[in-house]
Formats: sequence, structure tokens, C-alpha cells
Amino acid sequence: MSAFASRLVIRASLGTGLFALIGCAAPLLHEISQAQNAINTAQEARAEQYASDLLVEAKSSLDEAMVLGGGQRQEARELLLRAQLQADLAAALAKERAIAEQLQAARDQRDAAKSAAASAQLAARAAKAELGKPITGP
Amino acid sequence: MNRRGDRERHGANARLLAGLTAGVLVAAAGCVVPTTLSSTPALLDQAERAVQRAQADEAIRYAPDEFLNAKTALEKATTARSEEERNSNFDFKQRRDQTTRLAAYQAWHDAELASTKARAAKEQEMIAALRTEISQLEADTQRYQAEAEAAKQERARQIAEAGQAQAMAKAESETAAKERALREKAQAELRAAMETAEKERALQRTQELERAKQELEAKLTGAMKEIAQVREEKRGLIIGLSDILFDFGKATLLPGTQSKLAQLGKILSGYADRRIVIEGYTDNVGSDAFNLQLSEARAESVRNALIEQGVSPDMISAVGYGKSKPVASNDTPHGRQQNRRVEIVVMNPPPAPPEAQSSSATTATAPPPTPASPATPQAPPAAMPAPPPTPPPATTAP
Repeated sequence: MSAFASRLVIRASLGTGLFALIGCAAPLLHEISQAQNAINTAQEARAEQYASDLLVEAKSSLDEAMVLGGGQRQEARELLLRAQLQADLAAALAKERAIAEQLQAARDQRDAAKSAAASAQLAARAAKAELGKPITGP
Repeated sequence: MNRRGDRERHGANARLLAGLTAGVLVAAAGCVVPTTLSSTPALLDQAERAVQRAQADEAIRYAPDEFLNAKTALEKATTARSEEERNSNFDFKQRRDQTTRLAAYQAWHDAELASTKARAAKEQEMIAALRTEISQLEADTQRYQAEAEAAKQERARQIAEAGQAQAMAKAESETAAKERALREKAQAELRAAMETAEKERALQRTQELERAKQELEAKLTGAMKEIAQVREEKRGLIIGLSDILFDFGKATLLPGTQSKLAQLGKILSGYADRRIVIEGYTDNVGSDAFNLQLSEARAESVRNALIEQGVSPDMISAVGYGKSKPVASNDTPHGRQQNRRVEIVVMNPPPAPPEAQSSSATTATAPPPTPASPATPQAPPAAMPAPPPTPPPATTAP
């Protein structure tokens, strides 16, 4: 084998190895990014407050996937998918809980507005009733 | 290649399922989270219930993608479960079981996600509706407040108007009271002026009447002086008549005296407001009773004669004093002749009390004082009590 051939073999091997490395790592990076984004979204939605268990599980799955070695690529992908699903559900639950709180606040505000309207109506009726009464004294 | 890919996919699914259900997941929504301890039928049941809840939550409307994914995964799990039950190959059954569990978990996950999104969407709609309701209520509150404020202002205006009306009424009442007081004062002044004028007129008339009366009485007195002896005393005008009017010892008037009495009667008629008393006297000749009776009879004769001449009987009375009240000595014939007499007394009017004077001044139209009747205490009675016993009457001169 000539030096040129040797260099070709080496380059081919390096290229193959690099290709294999990129081919193996690229999907994981994408899934890690998706899982991390999902967790960030859940945190932004205050999932610590409304769906803390799911968020903890999602973070745990992500951490677990990050420490797995190259030979456990499939397991890592599964953990990342799990983390993403858990984070998505946690984010959705947190958003729904926040909306439910807004709903309760709106109901309270509606009740207060109703009470204020009733009071104002009573006051208006009382003021109108005064109009018909005779005026006594100076 | 396909078989190896399937195996890898099945292995990956199994590990994913194991990882997904590695811990006990307690979601805030309260749903039952599948675990590794759950059996495949239980997982399928949970997935079906989750899909039913999503359907009840109207996920097809609010989260159609997640809901359809859940239904697809559930169908896949159900199909794999059926294939597993129909096949007796252990490896096939194990692979289908893994497929069933993974698909059931995905169906549960997607259904829960769809339910959560549907609830959130519905809550958003409710929030929007509540905000609309709140806006309406706030508008109502503002309207009621405006109505109350307007009513209060109207009430304040009413009170102010009532106060003004009361003030005006009070001012009008005061003005009317002042005008009434002024009017009453003017009327009182007018009445006082009229009364004063009337008093003055009455006084003037009274004075005129008094003057006319005095003039008339002076004329009457003058006329009487021409036919009889007249003198004035405190009690009145005394007209003396000698005893030649009667026969001796009798009370019948002589015929020649009629003309003289007629003249006197006409003159005495002019004293319309005087009381006239006819007094009879004798001398001391004869008994007291005889003289008293004779004096009374003669006085009565003169009274009757004067009444016949027009003198009102109400104003004239007669009284006899017998031989009492002599005016001269009875020792001589001339003295006895003087004592035998008839006197006509024109009584002065009694002095009026001060209030009577003032009232008489105000009542100009009041009738003149009427002569007192003979029965009044001021008038001497027609029949005086018998005088003390006197000597028998003397014979009167003819």
C-alpha cells in the first residue's frame, strides 16, 4: 500500500468515523434541544407551582439521558422523548392551572362587580324614593 | 432490515415505556397516571378513560390534533392487543404487548394533553364571558351611580326650592302682616278721626241745642214773667200763683183763671225735657188735715188744667204741703195771703255724672232726657206724706 493509499485509507477512516459521529450525535442533540425547550417552556409556565412532579420527572429524565454513554444512545433518545412529553404535559397543566386561577379571579371580580352593582342599584332606588317624600323642616 | 428495524423499534418502545412509567406520576389534573406496575389491560383502560374524558371536554373542538393523536394511539393499542390475544407465539405476543403498552401510554398522554388544552380553552372562553359580564356590571354600576347622583341633585334642588318657597311665604306673610297692621292702624286712625269729628259735631250740636234751649227757656221765662211771678231757685224755676184762682176753702178754679192757665200751659209745653211739679200751700187757718187736703186738691186742679192745655201728663205732677213751708207770717192778713199759694216748679235737670256728660256728648242723636215720672224718687210724690199736725185751716181769701 502506498503512502497515498495509506493516506486515502486514513482519510476515509476519519471521514467515516466523523460521519458516524455526526450521524449518531445529531439526532440526540436535536432531541436534547427539544426536551430542554419543553422544560424551559414548562418552567416559564410556572410548572414548579402547578405540575411540579411532572417537571421533576422531566428534568430527571433529561439529566439521566445526558449522562448515558454512546453505547446507550437508544436509551438516551427514549429518556429525552419521555422528558419532552412530561414537560409538554406539565407546561399544559401549568398553563391550564394559571388560566383556572385567572378564571377564579375573574369570578371573584364578577361577584364583586355584581355586589357593587346591587349596592349602587339600592342606593339609586333609595335616592329616587327620597324624591317623592315631603320636605319637612328648614 | 425491516425485521431488525422492527426489533430495534420494539426495543426502543419497550425501554421508552419503561422509562416513561419508571416513576409514579401524579399529575395536578388528578388523573390516574400509568405506571410500570400497571397491567396492560389497566393501561388500556386508563387510556380509554382519558380519551373519553377528552371527548367529554370537547377536545375535538379545542385541541383536535392532540385528540386525534390520542384516538389513533388508542386504536393502535387496541389493535395490537387484539393481535396479541389472537396469536399464541410468545415472542409475537411479547412484542405486541410492548406495542400495546406504548401506544396506550401515548394515547393517555395525548388525551390528557387534549383535555388540559380543552379545559384551558374553555376556561379562556369563560374568562372572556366573565370579563364581558364584569364590563356590563361596571357599566350598570356607573349608570346606577349616575342615577343616584342625579336623584341626589334633584333632591337637593327640591330642598332648595322648598326653602326658597318657605322664605318667600314667610316674607309674604310678614309683608301681609305689616300691610294688615298698617291698614288696621289707618282704619283705627280713621275711626278715631271720625269719632273725634263726630264728638265735635255732637258737642257742637249739643252746644247749639243747649244754646237754643237756653234761648227758648229765656223766652219762655220772659213770657211767664209777664203773666206770673217768676223766681229762680236752685231746684228750678218757680212760678207763683196767688190764691185768687180759687174760691174760699175750695179747690175749683175760677172761670177767670182759665185764660191765664192756658197761657201758662202753652209756655210750659215748651219745657219738654223738664219735670214740672205743682205745689199747693195754705195758711195756718184750719186744721192741718184740711189744709193739706185743700193744698193737694188745688195743686191737682192746676195740674189737670195744664194737662188740658197740652202739657204732657207724664211730665207734670202735683203735691200739697198744707200750711207747712210758709213764705210769710200768718199773723197778718197780708202774710196769710202770701202763704196761700200754688207754685209751679219747673225742675232743673239733675246734674249728669261726668261719664254721662261725655257719653251724652258722643251720642248726639240720643233723645233728650225724659222727665222723670212722678213715681221716681227724684220727683216729689203726688201725694206727699201728711205734714205734721197744724192748726185748723184759715179761711182763704176770695
